[in-house]
Amino acid sequence: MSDFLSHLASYGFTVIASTLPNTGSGNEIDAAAHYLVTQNGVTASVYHGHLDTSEVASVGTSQGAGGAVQAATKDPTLIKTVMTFSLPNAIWAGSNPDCPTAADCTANPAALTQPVFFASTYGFWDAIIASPATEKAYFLSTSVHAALGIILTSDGKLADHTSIQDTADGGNPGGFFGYATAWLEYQLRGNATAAGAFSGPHPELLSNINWPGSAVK
Amino acid sequence: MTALAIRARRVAASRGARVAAALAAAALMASLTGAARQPAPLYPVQAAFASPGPYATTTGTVTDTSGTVIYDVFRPSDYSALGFQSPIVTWGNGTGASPS
Repeated sequence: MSDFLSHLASYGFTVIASTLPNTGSGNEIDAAAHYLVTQNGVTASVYHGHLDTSEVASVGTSQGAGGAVQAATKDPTLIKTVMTFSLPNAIWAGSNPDCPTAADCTANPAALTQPVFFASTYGFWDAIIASPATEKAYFLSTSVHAALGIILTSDGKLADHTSIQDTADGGNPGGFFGYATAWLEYQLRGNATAAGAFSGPHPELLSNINWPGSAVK
Repeated sequence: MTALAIRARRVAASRGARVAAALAAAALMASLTGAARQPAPLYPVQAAFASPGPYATTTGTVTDTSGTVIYDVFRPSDYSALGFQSPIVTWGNGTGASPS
């Protein structure tokens, strides 16, 4: 995921990512953010005094998207906004090394109190795992400011469940970069230009023909 | 002139302005779809934030007490160059994937 995460870093964000292969509980995603908050106060740390600990986003893909939502619902004091890539339909939640039971890996976007951007694709695998209908249902279930974006093509190819991965790993993430970065710029830095993608009289996301069926509320 | 535009002119002569206008519009759209010909981005917010950001970046790792890498970090390499405090993004991978 370093193509995308380094892209975010190039805008000034500090991105931390658990190396675990299963992050659906959200516990490690949340702990990683707290690690940086702690480091910000440690004199000898490279982060000392440089981090905005009041502006924290939880972001993820697939099982990690569920984990990002869970980190936010479990830790609303810390997490200010959420962004998901192919948040799976709940039927796919199961027990794994991170989750003793399926319920431990089941995210509940309806319980979010933070603004959220649900992104997914029209790809074959997402039709099974995180379909446009699934994402729309999540979008409609929330009571907060939310955006729904379903991308058609990315880097010249039809986008699907693993597109967010690095090109070196077979992904095609570039199509997501614009609005994903804009969401964080809007939510964490109050960037008015970025806000224009998701708010105002003509949110750009809604007019983008490569993101058909998008919505904001 | 494109073949489509030539047809548009012939249709205007034979069938009327309305159909010709539609064909001319189609010709115009066809000529504009090449990204290199667009004078400005069609979706400026998307274009602005799809471009690489202004700050040089670096990566790092965080290990636990047993020496296992538990986090990967992607961050600006020089915090003093930002002019603002760096917001935090915590990321969760897909099943089996790794951040790097």
